[in-house]
Amino acid sequence: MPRNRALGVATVAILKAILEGHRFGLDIMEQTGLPSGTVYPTLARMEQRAYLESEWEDQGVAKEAGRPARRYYSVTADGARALNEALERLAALAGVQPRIAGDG
Amino acid sequence: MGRRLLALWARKVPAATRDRWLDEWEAELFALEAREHGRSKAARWWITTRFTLGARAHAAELARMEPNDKHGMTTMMTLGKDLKFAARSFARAPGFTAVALLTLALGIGATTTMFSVLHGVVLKPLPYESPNELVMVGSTSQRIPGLAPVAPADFMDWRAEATTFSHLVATEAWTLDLTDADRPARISSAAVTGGFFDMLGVAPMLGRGITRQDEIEGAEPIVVISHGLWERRYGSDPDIVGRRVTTADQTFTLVGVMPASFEHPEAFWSEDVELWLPTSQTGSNMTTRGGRFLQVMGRLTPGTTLFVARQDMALIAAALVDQHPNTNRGRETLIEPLQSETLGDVDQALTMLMGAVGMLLLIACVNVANLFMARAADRGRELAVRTAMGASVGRIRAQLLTEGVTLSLVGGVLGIGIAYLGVTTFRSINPVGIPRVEAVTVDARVLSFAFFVSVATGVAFALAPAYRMVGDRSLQSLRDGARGGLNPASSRFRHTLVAVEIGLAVVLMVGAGLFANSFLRLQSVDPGFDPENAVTMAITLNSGYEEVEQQLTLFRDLVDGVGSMRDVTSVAYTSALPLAGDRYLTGVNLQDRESDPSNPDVAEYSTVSPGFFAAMQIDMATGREFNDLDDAGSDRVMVVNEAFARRYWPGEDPVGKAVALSRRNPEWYAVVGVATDVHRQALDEPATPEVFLSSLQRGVTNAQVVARTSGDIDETVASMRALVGRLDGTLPVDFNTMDEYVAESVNQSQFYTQLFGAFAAVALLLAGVGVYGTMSYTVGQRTREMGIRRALGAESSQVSAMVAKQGLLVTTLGLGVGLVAALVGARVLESFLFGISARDPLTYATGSMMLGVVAMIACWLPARRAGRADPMGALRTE
Repeated sequence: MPRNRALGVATVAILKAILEGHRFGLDIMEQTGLPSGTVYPTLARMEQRAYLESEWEDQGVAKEAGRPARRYYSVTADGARALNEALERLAALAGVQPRIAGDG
Repeated sequence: MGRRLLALWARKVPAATRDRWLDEWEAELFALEAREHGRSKAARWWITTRFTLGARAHAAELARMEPNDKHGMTTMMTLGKDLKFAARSFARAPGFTAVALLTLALGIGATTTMFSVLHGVVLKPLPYESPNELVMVGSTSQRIPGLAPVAPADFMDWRAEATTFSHLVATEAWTLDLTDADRPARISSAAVTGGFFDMLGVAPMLGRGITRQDEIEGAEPIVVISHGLWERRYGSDPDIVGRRVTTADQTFTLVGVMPASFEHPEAFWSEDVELWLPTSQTGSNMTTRGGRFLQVMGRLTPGTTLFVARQDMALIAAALVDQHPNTNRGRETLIEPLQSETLGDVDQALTMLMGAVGMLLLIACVNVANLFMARAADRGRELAVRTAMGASVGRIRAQLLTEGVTLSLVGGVLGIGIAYLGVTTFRSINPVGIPRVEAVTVDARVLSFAFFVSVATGVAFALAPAYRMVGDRSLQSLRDGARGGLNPASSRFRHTLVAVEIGLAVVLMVGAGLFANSFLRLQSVDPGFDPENAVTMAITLNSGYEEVEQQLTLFRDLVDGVGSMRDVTSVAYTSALPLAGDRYLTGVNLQDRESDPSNPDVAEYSTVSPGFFAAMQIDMATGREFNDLDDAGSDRVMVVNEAFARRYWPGEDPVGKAVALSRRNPEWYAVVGVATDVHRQALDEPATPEVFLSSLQRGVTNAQVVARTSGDIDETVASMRALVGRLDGTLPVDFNTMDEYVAESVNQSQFYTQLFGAFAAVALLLAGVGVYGTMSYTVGQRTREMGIRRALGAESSQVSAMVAKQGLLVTTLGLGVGLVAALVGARVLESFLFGISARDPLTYATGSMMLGVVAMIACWLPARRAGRADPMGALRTE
């Protein structure tokens, strides 16, 4: 069921980090400063929603580096569009001046 | 360590993806460990453990995404979150919450109460087996339309020949004055033909019912009693079957006790029947075709429609007309379902009340919707921020709906409390004389009704704000937020709601006004006698008083005894007391008047003692009333009322005229006086022609003794009771006051007035709150605009006028719509009103004026505040 739901701040940060080249979990965590309990579930959800795709690192490359193969994420066209909308919204949000009393 | 945790959490991951999941985490852990290489073991342990907490959350997320439980889980979790959020947001606004809850509780409570009554009385099936097969069968003719009583011989023929009925029984209202046990008592009874209980499908709890054998002339006299009578009079004796039950002149064998759940069908009975006896025991002539006094009920054979049964009976009736033209010419049969006959026109009254209460609920809904709109507008920025933070429009709407339904459910719980109180009160006063009132309870059906009303109410009032306030404009409102602009579409919508509310309130105000007017008029009706300080005692003589001489001796002793009591100023008795429900009709034959056989002359008839008119303080228009000399030894005399004189001797002096009560055997009575009219039936029924005869010349067996006292009513009652006990301890007596009879006759009108008054008061209050809330809100929203206007030179009064004008426009619109709706709806009230038209212009004017005044005050307060808007302050916040 595709749901047209706006993206939260954490999601925006994660998508942005991936677009900027930080493509696997630990890297994304360090880039965004978000805890693992937020990053990984979000990655799973975004993949479910087809905002993200993932692929496994070539076994040969991993072996050469002497480590298990990594799972790399990339943003889909849908994901990029959603990210842009969310950024626009956040920009609008940033324009709101905090007010002391609700006189409106 | 980290790897062991991963293995543990991997079990949550769906099996299909578990291996890949472990691979991913192995790689991540490896990367982490590679980087952390060289740190202390403890630090590494701590880092990897914390890191793998992410694995647990990831595993849980993947588990949740399993297609099987995905929707259920997320919906439930969302709902939980919404509920928590709703609770918090209500706690933050206690004033709003309290007002909304109170409004809802009142609306739902009142609606649930009325529904309990409607459900218990109208919608619940009668408490008999297959109740829709039960019908009433009546005799009908041109002259007496409707379900008229049936002649016994006709009934016997119907029963023998009808093929569409499995049972057909006849009943006759009866009373027995029981003399067994310790105290004489008058028991409301029914004489029935065999198979009566079988027809209703209810078996006796003890013993047997009444059979066809019992109705044969000369059969052993038997009775069946109700559960209530069994408990009350016979101490729930389990071995009661076979006991003797006696009246002064008859001895019966008690053969059965009915279960507690059994009720006699109430179609023709105003009192609860507590005893049944066979028709053979009443002495009524069960072979006559000329006398019609039986009520006939039947059960249709399964599958038979009313239409087929009517055709069946029509054929039988037509054959009877051929065979017995003298008695049966023009006579047809009429069949109606028992359920509708039991209810009479009560369903009309209940439907009207349900309509009124529904309007109240609607007003409550509109009001809470308005409160919600105002709150949603205040929360516009909160909602916009939430949207920007990633909440979807659907989610926010769901949140608002959850809030609405939560609120209305809590209101519903309070409302059910109100309904419990309401139903208890309603049952104990039974103000409109509703049959089956004991069936009115707050049961599962009523509770589910209240639940659905609550949910529907919640959705109804939350839906509008959820759709008006949340939408594509939310982003814009975020940008506009600082400017506090007034959304024109939503403010128009709010004003429409207020207009609707005022319209509904007008309808209730007018209804209340009409009932109040009608009640006042009814109360100011002069009954024609003085009801104050008059004790009445109903007394019924038994077979020990067959001779007129015996009757008169007893009553002379009674009148002498009561008359000599210290505080009693006058005493008399009558066979039929006004407003007490006693009514006897007689044919009259006027000496100098040719009567029309198709439209015979009739009059109400009663026997009264000398001094009756004086004791009742009924004036004599001309002539005299009876005195002690008008006894068996002197000329037969009569008093008529003014209505009689007007009808039969217009413009003539009635005194000296002669009247007979029978055409065949004229016994002439000389009219000696004309009494002024009294309202005999009810205060809202005009006086009809009446004749009064002297008890000294006619004797009397059933009487109401009227004693006017200057002292304490209760003391007088006690002395009178003691006196009757001394004279004859076997006579049952029943005390009342004339005031009570008068009060009873305006009971119904008073109830409608109070109920509608309460509805209207609540409606007025809610409408006032609605107008005030909306106007203050608008003013609040436009504070800056007002400030600018003031800064540009507008007078304070001009600003106030501008706001007030808007409020008055809404009010006027609502009043107009409401008046039209009231005019249309008032037709329903017509039959409940007395002495006032349902279109009485003064009532309409008063109702709308009161509402107008309240609305004006509700507009004026915020308008004044608007006028005071500080120009500098308003501009500074810009």
